[in-house]
Amino acid sequence: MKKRLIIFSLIIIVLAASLFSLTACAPLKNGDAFDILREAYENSTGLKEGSRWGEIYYYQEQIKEKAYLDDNGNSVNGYQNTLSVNVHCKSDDNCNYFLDKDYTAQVEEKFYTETIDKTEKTLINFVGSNNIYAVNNKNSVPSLFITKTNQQKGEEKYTQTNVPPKAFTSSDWFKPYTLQSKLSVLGDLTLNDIEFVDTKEAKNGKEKIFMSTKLSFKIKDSYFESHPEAKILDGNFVYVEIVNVSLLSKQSDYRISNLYVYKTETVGNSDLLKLDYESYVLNISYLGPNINPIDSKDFTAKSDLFDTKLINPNYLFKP
Amino acid sequence: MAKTNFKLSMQQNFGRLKGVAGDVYTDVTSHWSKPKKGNYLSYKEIAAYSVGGMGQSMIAYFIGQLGFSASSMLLAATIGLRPMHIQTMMTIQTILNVLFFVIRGKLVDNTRTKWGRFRPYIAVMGIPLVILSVVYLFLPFETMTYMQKLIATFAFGISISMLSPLLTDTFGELGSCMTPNTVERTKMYTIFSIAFSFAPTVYNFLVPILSKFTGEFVNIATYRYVIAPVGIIGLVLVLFAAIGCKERVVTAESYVQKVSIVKGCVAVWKNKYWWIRTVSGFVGFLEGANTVLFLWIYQYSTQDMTTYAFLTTIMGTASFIAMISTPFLLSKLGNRDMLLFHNGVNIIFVIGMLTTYKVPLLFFLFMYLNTAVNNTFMVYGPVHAADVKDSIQYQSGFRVDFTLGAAGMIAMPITIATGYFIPFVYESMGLTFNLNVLYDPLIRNNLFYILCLLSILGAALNLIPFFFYSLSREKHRTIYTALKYRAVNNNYANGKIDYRDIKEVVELYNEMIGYKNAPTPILKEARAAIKKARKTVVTDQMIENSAYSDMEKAQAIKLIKKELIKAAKNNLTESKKISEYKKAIEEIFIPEITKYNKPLMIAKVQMAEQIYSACDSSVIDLLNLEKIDLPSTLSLDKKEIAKLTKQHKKLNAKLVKTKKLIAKKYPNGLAIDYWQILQDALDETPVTNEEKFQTNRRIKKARKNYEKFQKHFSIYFDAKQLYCDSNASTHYDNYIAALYETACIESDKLDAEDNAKTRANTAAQKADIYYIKCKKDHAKKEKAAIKVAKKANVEYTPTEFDPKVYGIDENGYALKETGDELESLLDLLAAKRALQKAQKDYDKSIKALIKQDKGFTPEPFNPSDYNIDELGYPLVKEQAEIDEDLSALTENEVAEISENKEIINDKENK
Repeated sequence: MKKRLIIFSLIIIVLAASLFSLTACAPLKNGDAFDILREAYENSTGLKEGSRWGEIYYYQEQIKEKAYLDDNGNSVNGYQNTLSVNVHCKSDDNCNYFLDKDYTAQVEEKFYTETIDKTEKTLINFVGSNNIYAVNNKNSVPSLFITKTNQQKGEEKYTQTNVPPKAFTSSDWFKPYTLQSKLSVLGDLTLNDIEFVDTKEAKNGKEKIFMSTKLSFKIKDSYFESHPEAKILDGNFVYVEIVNVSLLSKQSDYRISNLYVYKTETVGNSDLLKLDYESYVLNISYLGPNINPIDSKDFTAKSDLFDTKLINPNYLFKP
Repeated sequence: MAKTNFKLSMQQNFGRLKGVAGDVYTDVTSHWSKPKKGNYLSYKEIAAYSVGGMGQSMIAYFIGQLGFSASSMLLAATIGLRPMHIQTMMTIQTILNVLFFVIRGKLVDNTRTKWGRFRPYIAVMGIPLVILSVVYLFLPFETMTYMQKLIATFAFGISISMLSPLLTDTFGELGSCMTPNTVERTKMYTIFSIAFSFAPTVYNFLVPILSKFTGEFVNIATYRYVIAPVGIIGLVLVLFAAIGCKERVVTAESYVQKVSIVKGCVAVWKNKYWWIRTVSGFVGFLEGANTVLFLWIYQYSTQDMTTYAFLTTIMGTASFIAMISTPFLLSKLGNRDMLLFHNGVNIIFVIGMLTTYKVPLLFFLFMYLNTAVNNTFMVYGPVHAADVKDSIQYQSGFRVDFTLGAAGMIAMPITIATGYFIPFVYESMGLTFNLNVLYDPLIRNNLFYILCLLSILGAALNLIPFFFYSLSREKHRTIYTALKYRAVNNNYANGKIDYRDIKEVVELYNEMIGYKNAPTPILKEARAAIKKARKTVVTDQMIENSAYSDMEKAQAIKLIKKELIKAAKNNLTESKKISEYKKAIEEIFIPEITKYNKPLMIAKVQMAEQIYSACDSSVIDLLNLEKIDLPSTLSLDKKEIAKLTKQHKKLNAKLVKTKKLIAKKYPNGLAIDYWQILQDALDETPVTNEEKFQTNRRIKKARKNYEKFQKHFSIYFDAKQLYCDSNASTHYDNYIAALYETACIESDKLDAEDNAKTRANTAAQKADIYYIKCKKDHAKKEKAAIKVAKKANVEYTPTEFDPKVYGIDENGYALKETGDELESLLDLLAAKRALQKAQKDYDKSIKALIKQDKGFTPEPFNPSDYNIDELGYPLVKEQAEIDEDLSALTENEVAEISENKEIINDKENK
């Protein structure tokens, strides 16, 4: 009995050790780290052949620019825009998407301004929001629902039927909201354009722990000169989290999970206490929550909502 | 016939139940505002405490959302804090809580208001807790940076964790000082626990359903508008306890020596079983990895909070199954096998969860069964903990009830370190700032798979230490006997003679000696006998000699074989038991009873005697003791000489130290009798709350001074303890064993007195209830009579309630019958009981016979088969029958009957 017990214990301890060893950090070379980033980008945007992603996604984006006092002591406004986009359909446990079942889309935007008053207190004001749903209403009719909220003018609600969600997400004006457009800022990056930075988030700028790879790097100014649209990534460093979703398969399947850009702010008057804040946040999940059918009560019907300026992004409420 | 008897017994049971329910109703309504005679608590006060308990649980549920947990739906899923950061906050909180614990203790101990010590905290502490939580929930998280969210969460979380025990602990303390009557307190807690569990059932059901309208548990609106109101309602309910309950100050009646924390901790750390249980607990973090999956499946996979609400309510019944099955399992399996069963079955159910996490209802089934098995620990855990405490007491010589918690702090660094593992796993699987990734089945299923594997690993690792857990029932009983032996010897030495204890210890002692002298069973042979029994070929002769000779051959063979196997199994069980006892007796009992006969111990006692006898008139005489002489070492071996020499050196060094201390602390000698001052304080009999408070203060001060005095003279008190214990060890053989017969008689008397007291109490309660019922009946009749008189336009003078009309006195007891009538009433009662018992025995035997032969047709119930008539009275035999029975008896049997008759008569006369 004791012999069996000792063997059993040894097996358990070996199993435990091997399981714990999976969680060990593996050092990465710069080239390998960049390859992982590249592969993850191509997978996430659907560019890679055979990639399952690119069509269905749920992401939350936040862009923040802090208010500050200029040299003359005048307040320069900052802003914060929060965006959540959910393109959803039915899927099975292996992430096989059934695009003809429960295909829906949702866009939620919120806008805030940030000001500093004379006593250097930061005031954050809600300015307005847009909510757009391309769903089926209660009678399974595909429809578009828009709610615009303006702090001064109040709330407006519009709806138009016979607007399939697929048509909505394929239209030109949805293009700025696609995941591809959000990640395109990484599209042309090469290894020469970046410099890995040692941060508390990622040791030596690149860290691989089991299924998760963490990278922190600074993008060189030359890249921003040739890619001004990527300016959003200009900060102290960019932090990217990449997840490998193939647990039991030998082949890795990387995709981008989180993307943060950090800048520094000083706290109070002195330059001594500085804290990093997120000037750009992108959290991605490749399937989001169900989008429920909407009751069209309180929505004003408009027959040309999809074609009119009302939903043209230039005319949607923005501060 | 069986059906009719069943119907009759069901009717009887229902009638009985109705009666009990009626009595309970009358009891509660009549003692709602005023407590019963001799009690302290009215039902109104118990209800107030129960409602307050509901409120306290609701507040705890609300503020618990802010609890630092890596899988917290509020902190991780909604606000977006990283699991590792949450774990770090929890680590800091754990360390700070050690300091807060001391501060809170001092604060409450020094509180003194006219409402008591605890009620002000109960009334007031809920307010800042709820306010802090509400303010936190309404912070503008959407526009805060990550660092701001982290700092705010830490500040609010730490404040809440610092303050919340001032509500929860004081609530618990209030319960223990509402009445000094232990029986009444137990009843109060029984009612409280039933009422108290109502609140979690309601909010655990309603909150998930209401959360559907606010975005479920991943939206801050749920916490602001669904969960916060639960806390606010709790704030109102908790006031019921603060206002409706009273604190009744209790004073101590005797001095119980507390062991120093250091001494107690060292004693605990030397115990093997404590370490086994503690080490097993180190891997609890792994085993619990799967508990979060249930909510995640319904939040992120099915997104069906209605089903989640129902299943959560059903999950609450798992503990009920555990409570009813654990006593049975514990008696069947014993201590160690229960632990192995619990942890082994855990592995099986978690494997089930691993294979079914994609099928929510199946997953729930396995989780339910796993929860039920885990909840068995709630029942057997305290039993095992008590066994371990007894084991520690046997080893160290003192009780460690208050230091177990402090001793457990040794595990804190390991607990803190291991607490980081699961958050680390979360982050390494992609669960960092954003728990929305759990909507994605790929991430979710990978994580679930890994967490289930970790749970299985944890359950297996948890199991391993228990293979070394050898504190069986038999061993514990042996430890108990050794402790009892020690205690009775010491009590006898101090002049305390408890006949019940003496009777018990002699019987246990004899039992142990019986096991010691029993032939050593050979387990191999006993196991082989079972195999042999299975292979037995049943012969015709065997069938003829058995009780199944009338049955069909095949049936008879089956039953005979079954009996043989059962007998062999019972023999194996008995052999194992004897074997276990023999081991335990050699390890524990024999060393205990021969402890002071060993040469090393004799030498130690001799040294102790020198110190003890030097202080005949006062402990201050230690100053005159030059040194302690080393006793003769002729009968000792090398190792023992080394041990003795070491102790001798230590003692002399301590003596020198003590003399210096005495010269410093007591330069003018010992003027104060600290023990007497303590006794005087304990002997006080305060009446008012103020007096009780002052008495408690004096007792506390006197105890502190006495313990300081003991510490200074510890060399003397330790020596006295050892010397007296060694003298006391001879008392069993010299005096106690000889008192057995007297002890039996005296304890029978005490038992009879206790039974009579219990019967009297029950009769008093019944009489009280009956009196109230009669009074209510009289009032009802009077009301009806007035109504009739009014209708008939006739004047009616109401009459006072006269209990004699109902055949009772002013206390509710039946009016005293004449001797004959009373006797006939008692006979009637006995006859009823006899008839019920005969009926029960008949039903049982019929059931057994039907089980053996399904075609069996039972004969109708005949009371005369059980020597009673149809009313239950014993059958009176005809004289001729009696003479025939007598003539059949042998001479010896007649002599035995006469002897027994004499003993019975003697007992009756006494």
